Amino acid sequence: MATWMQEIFPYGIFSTDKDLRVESWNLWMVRHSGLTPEEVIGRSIAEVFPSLRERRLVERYERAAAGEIIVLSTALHKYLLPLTSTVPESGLPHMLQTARIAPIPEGDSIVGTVTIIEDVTQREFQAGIVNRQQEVDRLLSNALVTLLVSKDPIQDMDLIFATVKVALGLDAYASYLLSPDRKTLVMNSSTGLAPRDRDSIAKVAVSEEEILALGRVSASGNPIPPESNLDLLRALAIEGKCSYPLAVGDRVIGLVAFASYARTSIVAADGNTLSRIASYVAIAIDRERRERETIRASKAKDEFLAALSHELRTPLNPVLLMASDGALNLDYPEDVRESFAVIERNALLEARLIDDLLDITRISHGKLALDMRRLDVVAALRDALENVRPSMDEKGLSVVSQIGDTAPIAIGDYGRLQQVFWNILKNAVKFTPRGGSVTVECHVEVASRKLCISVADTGIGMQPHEIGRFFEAFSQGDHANYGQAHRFGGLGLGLAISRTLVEMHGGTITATSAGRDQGSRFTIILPCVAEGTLLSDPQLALSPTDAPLDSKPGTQAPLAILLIEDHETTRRVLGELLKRRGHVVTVAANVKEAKAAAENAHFDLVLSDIGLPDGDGFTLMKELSAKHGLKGVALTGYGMSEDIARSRESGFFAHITKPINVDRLDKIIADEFGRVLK
Amino acid sequence: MELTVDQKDGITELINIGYGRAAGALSELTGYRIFLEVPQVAIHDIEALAPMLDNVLGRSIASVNQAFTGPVNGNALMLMDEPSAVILSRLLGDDHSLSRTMDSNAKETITEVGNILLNACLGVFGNLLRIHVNFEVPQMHLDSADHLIESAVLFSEEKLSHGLMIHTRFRVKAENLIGYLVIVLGITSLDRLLLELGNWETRQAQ
Repeated sequence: MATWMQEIFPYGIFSTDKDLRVESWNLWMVRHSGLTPEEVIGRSIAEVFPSLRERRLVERYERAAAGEIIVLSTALHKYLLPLTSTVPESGLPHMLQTARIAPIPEGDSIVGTVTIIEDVTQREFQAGIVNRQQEVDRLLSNALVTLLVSKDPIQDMDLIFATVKVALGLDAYASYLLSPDRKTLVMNSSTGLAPRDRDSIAKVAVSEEEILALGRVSASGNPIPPESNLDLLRALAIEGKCSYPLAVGDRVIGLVAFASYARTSIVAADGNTLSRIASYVAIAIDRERRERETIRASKAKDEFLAALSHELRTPLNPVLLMASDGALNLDYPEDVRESFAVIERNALLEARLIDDLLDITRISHGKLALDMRRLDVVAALRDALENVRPSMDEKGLSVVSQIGDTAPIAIGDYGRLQQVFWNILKNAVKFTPRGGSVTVECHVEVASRKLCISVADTGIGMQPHEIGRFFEAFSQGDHANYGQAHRFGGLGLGLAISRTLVEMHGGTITATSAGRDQGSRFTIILPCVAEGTLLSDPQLALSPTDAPLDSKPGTQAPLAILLIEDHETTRRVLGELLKRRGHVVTVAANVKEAKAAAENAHFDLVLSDIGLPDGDGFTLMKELSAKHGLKGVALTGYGMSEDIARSRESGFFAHITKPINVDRLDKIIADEFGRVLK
Repeated sequence: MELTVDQKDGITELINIGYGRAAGALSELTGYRIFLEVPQVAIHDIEALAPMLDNVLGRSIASVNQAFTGPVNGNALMLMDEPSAVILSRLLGDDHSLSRTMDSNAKETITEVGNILLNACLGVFGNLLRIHVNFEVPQMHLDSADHLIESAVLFSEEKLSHGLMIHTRFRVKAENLIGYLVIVLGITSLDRLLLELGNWETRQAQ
């Protein structure tokens, strides 16, 4: 090759004869090897660079001299000749090279070899930086993903550290949170520290100035200076270490320290990565704390709602008792009875609204339980229909009932299903103008074993966009602004509760409407077991039925009744009502009084509240029935049907939900003790 | 054109000798035990090569080709699918990065591996078959099969018409990687190669 060409190319070029003695040596070689042509020409290449033989590269030269073209890559050899690195910051002892060695042919034979060396140090150095950056990006995005889904970011530092430790050559870390009084840093999670070391730095006192200093360090993005007292690993004999504040803005929440047993220091590039991880963790902790605060606030709201409902509910019991009794008392003139009936209806309505509130808080806590048993769904539907019939009559609505004679059996909670049907029927009555009609249909799809119940009205109907919303709590249709605001009243809970209840029964509830003033249709589909009649299913003994009351107050044989109720007014009113029916009533306000009364007299019947100040009605009943062979009826809060099973186990033969309906109590007593007079 | 059973055996044996040398060189270079196996050898018309390679290696093929001249001339190619080439270069170069693409470093590593392999195989022809060939500088390409074959054919003196396809298995650090060695030849060169192969077998039998 022409000499001038050899000098022009930015490559190292030299040639040898067949015995590998150097014949030419270009300027590039002089510059990078520090050897002049005079020093190398005529000498064997293996003699000038002894490492060639050690690295078995002379063999490759010999093969080239035999006619092969040889390629030597950086990745496998790093360098061919030990030349000075052109990129001192790479920290490599020699220039990285790729080289090609080719035979020099002359006619049919080979007279020597030529070597071309390319300096790839810069290229590899840059590639290293890019690779490292990619690795850091990967680590940071992994950390972000972990933190985004984390429920406990400070504990999940363990997971993040596990991915970072290999890449950054770290062995240990410890994370600290600032105590609420801001006087101590408390270790929260750590890995790789010897127990004694860990214990020695588990709690570290901090001053207000030091916390301020941490805030300043955080803003700078630098590690905590090693001379600071807050370089918590200082106490340990670890050289490679660095600590970072956990802070959101200048609000310091803690600190995290990293350590390497093998490295003497953490380089700036790795420090940047760790600093960013620390800032991500701080943000995640902050976010998680806010979330927890929100949840706590929402829980407090639910609890307040539950307590409020309970407190609102209790005073209604005596009102209902007196009103329902007054309305039925034939001693009173007609108009007085009518007034009592109005009081009863409205108090009942109030009670239902409060019960809805209680239900919705139970649903949001997942605490609504069902008392599932075999039941006749149609009976529940008829019950609900009877309940709303007075208001239908009042509004002059005509009812088309297509329920039929079937008695499909399903598994469900009688009280709750009745509540669902009542909600739907009540809505139909509420939103149908005077003179309209409500159609109730019920049929069984035998093939799919499904029970379809639908309630259609000729009322104000729904716009398509409203339909889905109806089933959400505290939501009402646009009718709120239809005519006058809240013309129809209500809290918008009934359908939300109904949907949850139906879904808990494995069913669905849907609403359809052709539009405003086109009427609505609600369809409930429930799985059913069989079609048939329930004969004597003992399981149903406790289910209320709407068999007409064929006895009047006072036709019952007088009983000795022990009434246990801690609410003073309820106790007094219920006691009075029972006495008026000719029973002999002894009252007790708590477990102790009840036990004492049972010791002293014989009772035919125990009526007991469940929640008592010094114990519960279940335990009490168990004892009374064991000791004195007494029969009992439980008085429970509405919606506590989950307690029915327990109440039966405890020895109650029936239970009445509050508000206590006197009719029902009479009937239960009559069923149990028989009637003397007709 | 079909190879006879004897010819197939002969070529397989020759290539195995070459591969033995190449595997030795690679093992020595990297410090790992590397196995190279030749499960199959076949001859195909050149038109059939590209679709076949396309089928087994996919659209993006890493190739190292080295043209050779002499009494037998043609083009020798080592072919792998790109992901396998990346894995092989990482295994050999002790590169722990997770890169999935061929950077210049990986290209050089594959070039050197191809160079060693092709030198070893073509060297065997020279030594054992007594056909002396001249090598040209190896070239590394990332391309589709049809382009690779096209450019291998383009600058040849003789019209290249056949491809000797050698299925190759690399075993490195418990990884099995599949590649192909393809030697494209003209009919004259192929004829000469098979003739010398026959002579060599006769000498072996003596």
